[in-house]
Amino acid sequence: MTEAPSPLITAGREVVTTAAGRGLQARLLGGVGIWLRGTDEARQALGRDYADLDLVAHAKESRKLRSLLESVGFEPNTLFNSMHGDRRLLYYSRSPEYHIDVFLDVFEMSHKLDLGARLESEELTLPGAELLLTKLQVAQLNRKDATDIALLLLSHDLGGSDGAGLVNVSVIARICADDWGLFTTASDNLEIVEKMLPDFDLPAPGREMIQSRIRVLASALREHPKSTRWKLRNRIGRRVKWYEVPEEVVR
Amino acid sequence: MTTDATATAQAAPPRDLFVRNATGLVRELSAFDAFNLVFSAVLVPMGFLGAMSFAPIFWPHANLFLAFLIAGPLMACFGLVYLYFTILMPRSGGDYVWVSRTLHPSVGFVVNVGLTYVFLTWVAFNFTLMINVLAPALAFVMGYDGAWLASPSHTEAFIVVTVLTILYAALMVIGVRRIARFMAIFFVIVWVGIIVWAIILAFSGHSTFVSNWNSSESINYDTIISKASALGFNNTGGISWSETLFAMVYAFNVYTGFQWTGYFAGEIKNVRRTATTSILGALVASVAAYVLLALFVYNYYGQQFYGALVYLGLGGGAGQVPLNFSPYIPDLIKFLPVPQILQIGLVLSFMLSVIWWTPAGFMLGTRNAFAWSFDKLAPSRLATVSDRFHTPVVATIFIAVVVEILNILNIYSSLAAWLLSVIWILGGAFVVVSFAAAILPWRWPELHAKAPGWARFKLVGIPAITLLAVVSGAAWAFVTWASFYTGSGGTFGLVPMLESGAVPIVAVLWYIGNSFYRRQQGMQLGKLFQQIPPE
Repeated sequence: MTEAPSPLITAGREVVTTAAGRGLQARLLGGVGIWLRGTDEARQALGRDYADLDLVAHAKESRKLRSLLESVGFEPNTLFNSMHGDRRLLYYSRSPEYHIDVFLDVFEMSHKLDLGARLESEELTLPGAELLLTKLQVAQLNRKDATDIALLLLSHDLGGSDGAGLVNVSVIARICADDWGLFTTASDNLEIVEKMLPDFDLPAPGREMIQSRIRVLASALREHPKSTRWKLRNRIGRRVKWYEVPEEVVR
Repeated sequence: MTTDATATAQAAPPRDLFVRNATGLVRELSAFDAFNLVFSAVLVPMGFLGAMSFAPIFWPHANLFLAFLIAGPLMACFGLVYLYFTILMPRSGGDYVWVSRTLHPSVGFVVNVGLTYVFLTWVAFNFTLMINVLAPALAFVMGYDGAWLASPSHTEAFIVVTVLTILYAALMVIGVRRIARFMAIFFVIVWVGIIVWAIILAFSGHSTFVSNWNSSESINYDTIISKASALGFNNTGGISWSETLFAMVYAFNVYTGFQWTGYFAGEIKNVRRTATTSILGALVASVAAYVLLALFVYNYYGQQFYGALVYLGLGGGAGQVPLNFSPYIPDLIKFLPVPQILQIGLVLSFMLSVIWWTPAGFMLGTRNAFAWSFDKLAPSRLATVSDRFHTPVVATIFIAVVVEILNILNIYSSLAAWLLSVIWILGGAFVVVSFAAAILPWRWPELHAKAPGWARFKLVGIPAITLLAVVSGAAWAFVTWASFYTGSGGTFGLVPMLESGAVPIVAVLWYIGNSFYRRQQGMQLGKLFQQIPPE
């Protein structure tokens, strides 16, 4: 097992297990969630510094989760939580200094994802499919996002079910087949990551594995039967903006 | 379909990687939502009703078309003050945050409490106006004389406004996105009605009105003018420039609201960009609406006749001639040359405008309460999120209770007169906000350096924002002075005006008491105000 590259890995595990101890469902996503699902080889090659924790929980358990986070010493951003508390919560840790972004069932960034439906599918983190989607939906991909996608694809076989070391491709394809905007952003991002592969400090077999998985995934996205909503939106195409650009929050 | 998908994916343009430091946030309100919120706060239908009903009583020679037109550029200076602050400090609570960080926390608090109070009186006042003015207008246009609609009792009015207050509190609880959707639907309904009304007024000649009036009313057109004149209404049809300038007090009052974007800044997407379109867009739309509607009303009804009718129905000549309706603007829809069913629809547009705007008033109250709570000037409980609804239910209930108290005062005492009196609070508060903007370039130079070019541009060495703020402050100082000047001896005299100052005085006492209490808790409030609160 590779050494945890950041104290946030430990903190992330603790939050989820403490929540579970109190009967609350919370799962990690973001860089920390992806690192936790990574293989040793992938972590060594593509692990990075993590600055914050991202967590998903059920909106109906929001009160209990807030109590829990406050009881273990996290400090709430009162104003933020008052205004966006139906779908997001923001907490701070003072030592070490980082923040926790909590998504309540809905993940709304460049595109909107329902993460509550399959929250309990796996322990500790979101299922691989949803975890990958949270990165593929980023309309303005940064290097960290691309690295996380590569780490996830290097560590997971693509298959038709969930589980450790697996990304359920059918889930991703089904969700993208109903949302033209998400499909477009995800397809673009797969292309971008494939082009970036030579930049990653990986042995050739690793790069080839990621490339082949990108192609399988892109093909699955293309081949899956599309919904009427998808087809209608496809007629408009890229002439109309298909994604949101999340703003940075001054914390 | 596979082919389409393939083509779409292959058409992807190459993109560079972006830089982002942390997980972002997609805020709830779009550019249109932001515009709709502030434009609804101007509440053109009800503002027009109010200004056209009261201004002719006090300033019979005033031309409201001109008053609305001249006030426009002055309000633009005021709007740019709010735009400047919204771009520099886009934080919920708006002028509370700006003034408390630029001048002094106590000043920011008192100004913002005063403004919140005035704006919440608007919620209650418009509820009551809907029951006591618009419902009778609807009955008149329908030809229906059922007392519950034509002249509702205090109890009936109380029941309706209480139900409305509860329903709005419930609406606020379901979240800001649903509220925005609700308001968008009513925006369309209301403005289809108002635009149709304006078109009918514009394309129907004055002679049509005279003929319609004379054929349906027992007192003919010429008699109305002569009776009013005999009773002391001395409008000979000319224009007095001094009275027109005084009538701008109403123009300033009814335009207010277009600059509210800052209060909701925390929930608006790309607020620095959206603020420009919402604030300036709402002002342009409001000026155009008021100016054109005033022009069309004068053209169709005749300025002299309209003033005489208002004087006989609502002013000093009330009760002297047997009018069978109160001559508010919606009542006069009955004299338009269109089928009755359309007339009813037009009156309903006025009624529904109250439904359209009210969420904006509630939202302003709750957002300002958050900001006070965040700065420890109000109990932290005000900003807590409900376990069940995940929205700030406590703040919503607090605002609903305040509105209900104002409803009761409005129905059972003389809040209507009080509302006219509180113009000075509005004016005074805006003078302070303008002053804060004027000195900000020196007070927070590093913040001013981030302002848009138009605000940083210097004229004779003085930043443009300072010059604009001076004009804005002077305009509102005029409104404050004029409101006292007009009030002396009128229905809204000096005493009610001083009474209406009770809320800012309570705010001062609250601030002092709270500072003492927090000090006892070991809290140094001063430090909180040395920084701009997080988003």
